[in-house]
Amino acid sequence: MAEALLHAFTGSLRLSIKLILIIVPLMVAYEFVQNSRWFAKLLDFLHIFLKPLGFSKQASISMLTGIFLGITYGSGILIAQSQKQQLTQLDVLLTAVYLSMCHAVIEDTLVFVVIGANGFYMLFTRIIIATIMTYLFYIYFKNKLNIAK
Amino acid sequence: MQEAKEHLINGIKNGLDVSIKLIKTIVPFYIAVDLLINTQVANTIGKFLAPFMHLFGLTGKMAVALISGWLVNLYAAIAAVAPLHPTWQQVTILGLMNGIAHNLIVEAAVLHKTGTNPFFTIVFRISVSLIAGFLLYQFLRFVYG
Repeated sequence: MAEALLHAFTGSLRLSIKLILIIVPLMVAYEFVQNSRWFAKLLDFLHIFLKPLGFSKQASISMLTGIFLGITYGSGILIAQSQKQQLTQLDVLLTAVYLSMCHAVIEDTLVFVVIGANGFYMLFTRIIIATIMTYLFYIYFKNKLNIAK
Repeated sequence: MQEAKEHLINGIKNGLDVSIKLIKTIVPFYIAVDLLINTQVANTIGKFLAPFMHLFGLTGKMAVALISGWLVNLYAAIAAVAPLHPTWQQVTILGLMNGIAHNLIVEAAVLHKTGTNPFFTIVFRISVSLIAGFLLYQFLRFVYG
């Protein structure tokens, strides 16, 4: 019993250390990108892909934050933005659909990579599925919600 | 230069914050699963769910990880799957499925506040995660055998 407990404990400790070694550099990198000159360019770049799915330009910040950092941060910005009436009803719906399936992708992917996953397949499949689902919602709702704020 | 130092410090602080949060979930789950995994209970659950999990290329015991991920979060899923020595394909599939659908109860409660039906979001995300896991399994099996 003591041996089993020790085995479990050292295993969990090893996993914890691996996670720290991955997550800390990642957060440092994010901090630099977020405060860099490319950030605005990154938003423009993202809009190229989001436009065909029905997103307006204002949705880019919510989407970028949500996709990379997580739904909590993303929805915080989302709520703030929709209160400023910068987002259309359609933006809000599409953002919710997309982000519910695809958020915090870097962190989520890396923690599984730590225990041996192939990050490319995980990320790629998730993005494709979220994109298809969002597009289906867009087609169905575009004439029902449209520009109403 | 001063700014770079500030970003560095903020990054490290956020990183450690997140890590500590994760470790708090992971350690108890990992220990519990590692201790339970060879018991009769785990074998019974595993055998019962094996046919269903085989649709995704996962073993019966990995159901514990998938369900922990759905109900709690990704770190619970990782903690539950790591002691089982999964293949990289299995971790990838599980990561995708739990990536799409995780922490369902809490996140549905949050989304409910913005006016979305919580029942809908839970069913929607679980359905999508099952379809995605099945498709990725078929793809990986086709490419890597």
